[in-house]
Amino acid sequence: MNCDREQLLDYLYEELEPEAHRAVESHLESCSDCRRELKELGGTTRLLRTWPDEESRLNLVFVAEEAEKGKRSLPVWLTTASWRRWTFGLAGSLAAVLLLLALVDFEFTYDSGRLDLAFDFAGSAAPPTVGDLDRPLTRRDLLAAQQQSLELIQTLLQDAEIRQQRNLGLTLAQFSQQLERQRQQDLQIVGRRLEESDWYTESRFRRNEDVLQQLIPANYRGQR
Amino acid sequence: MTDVDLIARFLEGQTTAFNTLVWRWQDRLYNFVLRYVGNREEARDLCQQIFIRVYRSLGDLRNPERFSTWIYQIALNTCRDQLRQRQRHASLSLDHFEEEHGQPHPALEGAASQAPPADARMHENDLRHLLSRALQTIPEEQRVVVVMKEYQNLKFTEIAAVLETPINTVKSRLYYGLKGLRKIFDQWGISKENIGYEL
Repeated sequence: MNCDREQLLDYLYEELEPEAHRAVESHLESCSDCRRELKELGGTTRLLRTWPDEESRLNLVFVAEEAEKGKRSLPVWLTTASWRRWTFGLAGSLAAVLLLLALVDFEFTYDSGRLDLAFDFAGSAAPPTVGDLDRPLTRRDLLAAQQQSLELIQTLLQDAEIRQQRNLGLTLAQFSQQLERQRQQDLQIVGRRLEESDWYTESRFRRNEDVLQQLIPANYRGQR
Repeated sequence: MTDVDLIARFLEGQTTAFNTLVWRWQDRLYNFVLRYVGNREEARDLCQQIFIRVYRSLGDLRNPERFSTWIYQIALNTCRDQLRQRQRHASLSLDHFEEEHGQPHPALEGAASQAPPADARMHENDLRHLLSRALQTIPEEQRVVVVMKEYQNLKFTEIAAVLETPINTVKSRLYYGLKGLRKIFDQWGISKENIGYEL
């Protein structure tokens, strides 16, 4: 076998069939150039491998969301945005309904277990009514209804705010826990590194000491 | 359960199967990207982008048996896009520096400026940081092969399939990549004395 760089790499990474492996080994015994080459390559790969794999900590979760039937579902990242979207969506819907009711001059009365509803489209001469009205609706009735609607909206907004605060609290607590865990890990890493550094410095110091001891002649030490 | 089974389940509508694939591949891909781009935050962002690309185009994968090759190709393309963007940005910044200061940025004055200073070298404990910097110094086409071989333990045939390149080209790039790294290690004074074993 002649010097073959590709085979040398196959040999280094153990990708050779047994027979070819033996042939390279046999060649290496007689070829100092290839031995040197293999030693260099091996040294470089050993150094590279001192960098171990790390944890990704990606925490990726894909959640199916059927955006449209017949289409492939889209990924949604788990975030705190969903409940906020619901809250604002609900409030927006209520506001739209109230606006619509105001436009049609909506009125309702509740008396003795009976609910009467009335609409009055702007400009219409004869207001269409739903249910029997025992008495004509007054402005006070309208104001009372508006007040009730406002109270309902306020209650919903308060609920949403409480939920928001609770979720925020939970998120902050989780974040704080993560931060604490990270801090602990960092401290451990720093501690380990310090220990390694101490050990390294000490071993170098000892080596230097040994070298010095060897360099200083014994009789000189005796004279001192 | 194999990757092929998980892909089949995902294509039937089980998103959990895809999450299992993510869980199975995330560390492997992250470590590939990390060694390729040399930055943890960037590597995490890129991994997210990679998995989103995979999610969107998994249905187009004709042969699920080739999933491993295919996902590495997506990862590599995503990384290369990122590098191109980074280089464009760096180039603009360096041009701007020259306009402002009337002289080229020190980073343009030769590779020697990229080496750690001698004092820092003596005290620098973090070998990983040095290895990362060294990997960023060799040409991209060599770095890919070195990372795939050294850290992903792919066979030469697998690397050739991902890169769609002949095996002898792969080996040649690996050889010159390792040689280049060795030269850098020598220049930076990384020797058996400061890592504790024979190189």
